[in-house]
Order: sequence, then structure tokens, then C-alpha cells
Amino acid sequence: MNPVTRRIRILVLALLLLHAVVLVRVFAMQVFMSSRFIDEAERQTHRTRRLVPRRGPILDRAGRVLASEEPGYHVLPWIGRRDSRVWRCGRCLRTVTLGARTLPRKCRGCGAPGERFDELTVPRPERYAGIARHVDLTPEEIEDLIERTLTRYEERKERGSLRGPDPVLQDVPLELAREMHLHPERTPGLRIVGARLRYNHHPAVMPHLVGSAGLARERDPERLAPLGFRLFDVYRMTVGHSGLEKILDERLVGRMGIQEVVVDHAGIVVHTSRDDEPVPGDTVRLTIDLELQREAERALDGCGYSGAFVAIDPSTGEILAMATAPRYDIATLGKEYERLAADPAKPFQNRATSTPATPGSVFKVVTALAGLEAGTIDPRHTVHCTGAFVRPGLSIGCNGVHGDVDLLEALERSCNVYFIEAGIAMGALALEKTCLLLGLGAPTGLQVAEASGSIPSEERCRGFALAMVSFGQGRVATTPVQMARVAATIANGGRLVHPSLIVGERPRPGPPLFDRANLDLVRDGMYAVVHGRRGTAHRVGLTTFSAAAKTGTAERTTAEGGLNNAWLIGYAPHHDPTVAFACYVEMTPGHGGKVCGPVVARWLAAWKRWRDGGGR
Amino acid sequence: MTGLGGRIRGAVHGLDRRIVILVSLLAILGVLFIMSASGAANPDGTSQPFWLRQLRWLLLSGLALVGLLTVPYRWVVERAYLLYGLGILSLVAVLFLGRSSHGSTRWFSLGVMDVQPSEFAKIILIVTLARYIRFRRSQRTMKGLVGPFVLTLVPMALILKQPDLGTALLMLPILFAMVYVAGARARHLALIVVLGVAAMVPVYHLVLKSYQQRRIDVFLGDDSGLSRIERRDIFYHNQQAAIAVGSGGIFGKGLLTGSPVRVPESQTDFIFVVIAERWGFLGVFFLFGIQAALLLALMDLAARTREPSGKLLVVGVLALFGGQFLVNVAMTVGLAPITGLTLPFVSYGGSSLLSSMVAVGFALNVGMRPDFVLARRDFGD
Repeated sequence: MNPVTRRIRILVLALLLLHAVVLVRVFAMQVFMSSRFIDEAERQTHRTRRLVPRRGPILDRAGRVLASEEPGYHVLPWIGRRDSRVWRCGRCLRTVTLGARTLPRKCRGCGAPGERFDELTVPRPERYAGIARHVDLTPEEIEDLIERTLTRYEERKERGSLRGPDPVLQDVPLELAREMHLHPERTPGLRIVGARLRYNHHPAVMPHLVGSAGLARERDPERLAPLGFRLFDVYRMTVGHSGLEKILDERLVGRMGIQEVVVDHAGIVVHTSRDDEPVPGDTVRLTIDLELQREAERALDGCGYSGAFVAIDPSTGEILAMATAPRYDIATLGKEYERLAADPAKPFQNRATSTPATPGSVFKVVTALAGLEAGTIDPRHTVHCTGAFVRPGLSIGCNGVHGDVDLLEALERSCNVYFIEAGIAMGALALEKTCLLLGLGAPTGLQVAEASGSIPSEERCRGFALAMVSFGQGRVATTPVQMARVAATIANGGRLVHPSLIVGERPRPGPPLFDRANLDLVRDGMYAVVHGRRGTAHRVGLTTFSAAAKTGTAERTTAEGGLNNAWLIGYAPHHDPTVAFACYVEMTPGHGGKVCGPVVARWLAAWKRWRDGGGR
Repeated sequence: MTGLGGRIRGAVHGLDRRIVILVSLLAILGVLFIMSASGAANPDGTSQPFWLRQLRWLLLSGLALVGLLTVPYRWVVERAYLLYGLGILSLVAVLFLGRSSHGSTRWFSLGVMDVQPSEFAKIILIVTLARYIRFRRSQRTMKGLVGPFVLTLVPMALILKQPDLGTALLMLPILFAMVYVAGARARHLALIVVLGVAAMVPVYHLVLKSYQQRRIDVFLGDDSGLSRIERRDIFYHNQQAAIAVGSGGIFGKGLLTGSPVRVPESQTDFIFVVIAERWGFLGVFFLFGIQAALLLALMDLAARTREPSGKLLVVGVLALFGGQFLVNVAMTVGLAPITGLTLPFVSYGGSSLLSSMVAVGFALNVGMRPDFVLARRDFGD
């Protein structure tokens, strides 16, 4: 054979031998090891999808939305992709953001190979211009913000936190989200993500009550773990930060939905083994009416001092309005926090529930009721007031010289001497008993944080102390909501009301606790306070509502001199009360009726309109 | 025999029908399995499905082949050095002017299509080596091998620079096959292989890019230099390919039925996996049968050809097809590192198809013009 031909044959033989080696390998895989690979190919993997439930809305009495969860957008930093590059598929125009050293491999949208991608770049001065315009910052400030967010995230990571980076910007407008989505190259290092946002629709109204909610914070995962939420579920949802949002969090968050599916190697779902839809959080309906609440806040703000106003439906215990002053705006809380926290007026305090104060003369209705029930007050009996209660070594002034006064007149003109005599006659025990029956000295059972206040007790109140508490001074302190409860209980015929902020969650008023005749005496006294010629709340505008009330002016000795805590409690209308109220204004030079009367009168006018318009 | 018809009849008469039929079979197989791998209709619904595009490329490259057949191959061989110079020039130019993607610069964008000069550098190398060796007998000595090696290493180095390891390495079997057939001594070639392997150590450290080094590391069983994601990607690619091939069994899963294993790049470099999965070992055997028959047909053609440059051309084409097929299949079944070579005539892709068609065109061209005998005797003697 020709040697060249031989060499060609040897060459081809060698090539064919190598082909045979590869063929043997394929043969081994397909024939001997085939079953193993078939198992692999048919191996099914279980996947679990966790679906975050929608947070329940908070509504007012009439069903107006106060807080709800809405879809929105956050701007997040790319972790570790500070210098990310943006590529666009030349075929389907889909963009992809990758790290500085990563190159696109294959288009996820159309399958085009990596070489079809073009890099999109924007000159440095044009970067962040759009986003800066939207949020009123300079591009430099945006870059600084990104840097700070990432630094904070890194620090947190050092401490072992698993929480991702915070948004650089929260709740950005749709136009910005769209622009960032279409032109990711203009905002390198940032990405837009869909998010759940908690909107407070009336952020300046009753901020203490509704409170705020938003992104989860450090401790939230632990708190929500017993409800079946895992770490990363919590970071995907909104959680309560303050107020009812926080207190009712467990009811508002709902229940996680869990889908368990079996997928084959191709990612196709072949079986669904569990499909629990997420259960949205409860809808919470408040007893408060937004309009009445607004009016209460306006009325209170109108007097110019810190204070509180509470209005209760005496037949149910439902709170119709519960205002405190001063307040803050939840929408701007983040920016204003430092200033608000340093404000000496303490705007974060809910004065309706959390700051017990000396009630002063409004407490006399309690003393009167206690004495009548104990049988130590005879309504026909008179006490002679000389302008002071004088005993050896002891002298307590009255607010005037009343002469001979009976119970009705003592209430009408608020005579201290009468009630000191009555208190000493009945003793501390009888007074303490009535306080307990009226729910004083303990939280009223509202769904928000409350202070207990303090009431006279037999051990602590003897002699001078007993004399002082008998007209509401000294060792007695009540919150406005407690006093509103007293007013409501007197209004509805002696049945203790259970104040409530949420519809249908608290028991109705219990059985009558006091003798009807005794109660009527007190009520007549309160009616006289408003309608009597010499009443302490006469001519403050309450007569038009046929209201009954009791005023109080507790003196507070301060560096500035004589300032008072002004009180006014009562109900309207007198013959068939449908609302009870308590108003409290602190550190005012004025007196109870003069300061609180106009506040209550203004609110009652709104209430009357609401009532006549069919409000319930 | 006058007129066009007669000339066509004459041309068809001289055509090696075995090669034409075998190549057509491979191309049809390709279109079929591209359709199987990527679906009859494109998921995005707008652009043409891959199999239809491949069919279009097939028509175009077929026309190019027919065009090539009208030019006597010797006319091309005479201009081999000019071609070689142009080839080197384009390889240099693509490094500066070419389009980058995946971290390598391989393409010229020519509007309608992207041209990959390295695909044609392979063929120019075959033609150049044929031109260089045809009347020489010096390759029997070590010294005489210097020329062919230099001619090969220059384009190889440029292609490595792109970097395109697969295509660069494919030039070695072409060179070895051609000098061997031209009379180089087996022990010389063996010595060069040994030295070459020894030289790989400095080349590995000095020439190769880090990602190429890592591919070799992975193939040799060391994946410590990889990031977690890269390790997962490579592992995933190899594993999915193995599962797809293995689960095909003897008879396969059928062309368009069942739910296929997902393998990345299945219609291009990994088309073999699709064949093995859908048609099983029977299909693989069929494919290898066609390949073996093609190699044998080329062998017969080479043996039959008396004109030395034609003979060498056919040997070069034979080595090209044999080498490329081997490396491609070996990488899909885990016997070689994943280097990014296509399966000749079968894989999806216009550049690859066109270059394979041009290569086979040269072989057919040689077969059509058997009468040139200028040398007194074969260089092998």
C-alpha cells in the first residue's frame, strides 16, 4: 500500500478509535447507568411559597378608612453592586442589572445569547437627576443617602442581623418607579421594588389612638414568630409601630398563606400538596366617629392649653371622641421626632388616658353619691358655709361664702365646706367603696395603654387628708376617661359603663349600682350647675343642649403662681342622656366652667348636628 | 457539452455523492433537534423560531458552497498566503474593533449577521498548510516541522487572546494530521506532544485568562478557585447534561414528547445532549454512524486524490470534522472541559454552519477535480 494512504488510514483509524471511546462512554451512561439518571430526571422537588397576608384596615364608627395597606414602591440599594452595570437585550429590549464584573449570559426573556446585550451607560452628571427631582434632593445627596443606607446595613450585619438594607427612599411616586424601571442605568446602585405601604388617611387626627405602622423593626420578627411568621415574612410586611396599630398588631397582621408544590426538573408544577390562601388581617372598626373626633380636637385646640376631651355613649360605653392636645402628625413624625420629643408640652402623651390629675370639684359628685348611699347625707339638711372650713389647727378655704346650703345648692355652687362635712361624716371607707364601684383607681379597660390614677383609702385618708379628698383635692387623681365613665354611669341610671374604642368588643353597662332616688338627687344638682342662676357652669353655652354638668378647678401651685387644672364632666340631654363627656384642661389661669364650658359647648353643637343628621 | 445545463451535469457527476448525502443527513438532523430543543414556535412569538432560522442559514450556506465549487480549489491554494495574511489581519482587527460579549471579543458586526473570523481562520489554516507542505519533504526532520508549527501557532495565539480556547486548540489536530500524512515521523510528533504538555505549565500561568485556568482546574477536579455561584453553574450545566443523556436510555424519550431535562444552550453547543435524550443510544449510534461514514468517505477521497495540495486539504478537513465532533461530544458527556465548540452541521448558528459548509466545499472541490497531477509522485513516496 502506498505509504501516504497508509498514514491516512492510520489517522482515520486513530480518530475512529477516539470516537469509539466516547461512544462507549455514552453507551455506559445510557444503558448501564440509565436508571439512575432517569430517577434524577424524574426527581421531584418540593417548593414552598409563603404568601404574606394583607394587613387589616382600621375604620371609624361610620366605616371611613383611617388606615389601610396599599401597594407602592420603595427604592432599595443593590447590596454589593454599588458600581452595577446595566445591559439591554438587543432582541427583546429587556434590561438586566449586574455586578461590575459579571457579563450577561442569556436573556431571560427571549433566550437571546449574551453577545446580543449592549451596555447602557449614562454620563455621571446625569445620574440620579430624575430621582433627585422627585424627592427634592441633589444627586450628591442621593449618593450620600445610598452610602449611609449601606453603611447602616453593614453595621447591622456585623451584629448578626439578617435584616436586609432599608429603603433609600420609601413610598416613591409611580412616575418615579416607572422611570427607574425603564432606565435603570440612570440610577446605578439603586433598584425599585414593589412594596406594601401602610397609609394613615388622616394622619393628623387622633395620632395617639390609631398610631403608625410600616416596615418591620429589629424586634418584630421575634414578636410575630408565635403567629407563624418567619423572619423574612416579617420583613416583607407592614407591622405596627405605635397606638392601636401596635396594640392590635396580632389581629391586624392576618395569617400567612403557604403553598407547597412539587415541581419536576423542568420547574413545572406536577402536584400541589398544600394551598392555604393567606388570611387578611381583621378589619378593626373604632367606636370613634371621625367627624366628632375632629370637632373635639378643634374645640380643645380652641382653648389654647394642653388637655383632653372624652365623649361616651352612656347606653353602650362606646367612646365617640377622645381628643388630646397637643398632638403631632403621623405623616411627618419621622422628620419631626427630635423636636416633638424635646417639646416641654409632651405631645406624645395621651392626656385622655395616661395622665391622672387631681380632679378638684368634679369629684364632689362622687362624694355626694357616696354620702347618699351610705345614708350620712340628708338632702334636706343644710350646712352653714362661712367661706372656710375651720377646725382647731386646720383651716380650708371655700370658693366663696355660701351661707346655709343643702345638697342641691352645694353641688350647684360647688361648696367645699359642705362636702368636707359630708366626707368626714361618712368616713374614707364609704368614699373608697363608691370610687371602686365607679371604676376609679383602675384602668377602665380600654384597648390602649391607661394609667390607674389613685383613690382615697381608709389607711391613707384620715383627718386633713380625708377632708381634702372629699372635695377632690389631695390624694386623689383621675384620668379624663375615668371621669367620663363616672359621668356616663350617672347619666344612664347608675349602670357602670365599660368604655370601648372598638365596636362590639366590651360588655354593655351592668346592672344599676345605686339607688335611683340618690342618683336623681345628684343629677338634679348637676342640672342646677348648668341651669341654676348661680351654677358654676351657667352661661357657658351648655343650656341649649339641656346638659347637666359639674365643674372642677384644682389648684396647682407652681413657680409661675396659681394655675389650675380645669375640669368639666356631664351629660346631655338631662332627661334622656345620649352622651356623657369629660373635659380636662391643664395649667390654665381660668376656672373649670369658664375654660372647659366653651370646649364642651362647641363639641355638643357638632354632636347635635351629627345626631340630627342620623348619626349613631 | 455546452451551456449551463451541461456544465451543471458535469459538476454533479464529479460530486462525491456519499459526502453530500452524509452532510445533508447531519444538517437535517440538526434542524430536527433544534426544533425539538427550542420548540416549533418561539416563545416570544415575534421573531422566527430557531429551527426556521437554521433552515435559512442552511440555504444560504448551501448556496455559498455551490458558489465555492465553481472556483477550482487550486486557484484558492495558489492564493493561500494572501488569504493567510488577510486572516491574520482580521484576527488582529477583531481584537480592537470587534464586538465583545461574555468577556471575549470574537465578532465583527456586519449589520445582518455577526462574523466570527476564528471560524474561517481554521479553514484558511488548512489551505495554507496544504500550500506550504504540498511539495516539501522536509517535515521528516524536526527542523522541517518548524514552518508548519509557526504557521499554526500565530493564528492560534491570536484566537487564544480573544479568548476562544476551543477553536484555538482545534488547530492542533489539523496541524498534526496534515504533517503526519505529509510524512512527519511519529516519534517527532510524540516528542512535540510531550514538550507541548510540559510547556502547558507556563502557558497555563502566563497566557491563559483566569476563567480559562479555572475551567481546566474544574475539569481536573479542582473547583476551589471558583465562586459559589460559578461552581453551581458549572456543576449544574454538567449535571443537567449528564441527566439528559443518561435518562435517554436505549430508545430515548421521543422527539417532541415528554418533559425534557433543562440543559442550558441546548440548541447550540449542547445539541448532542438533545439527540441523546430524545432518540436514546440508538440515535447516538446513528449519529456516530454518519460521522464515521463521513470520515471514511473523506479518507477514501484523500487516498484517491493524487494532487498533493488537494490530498492535504481533504486530510485537514477530515481532522477538523473529526476533532470538533470528538471534543464537542466529549464535553457534553463530561470527558472534556466545556470549551464552547459546536457540533459540525448539527448545532444551531450561522457562522458555524457556514464555516463547516465551506470546509466540506473544499473537500468536494478536490473530489470534482481529480485530474491535476503535477507532482511526479506523492510527497510520501
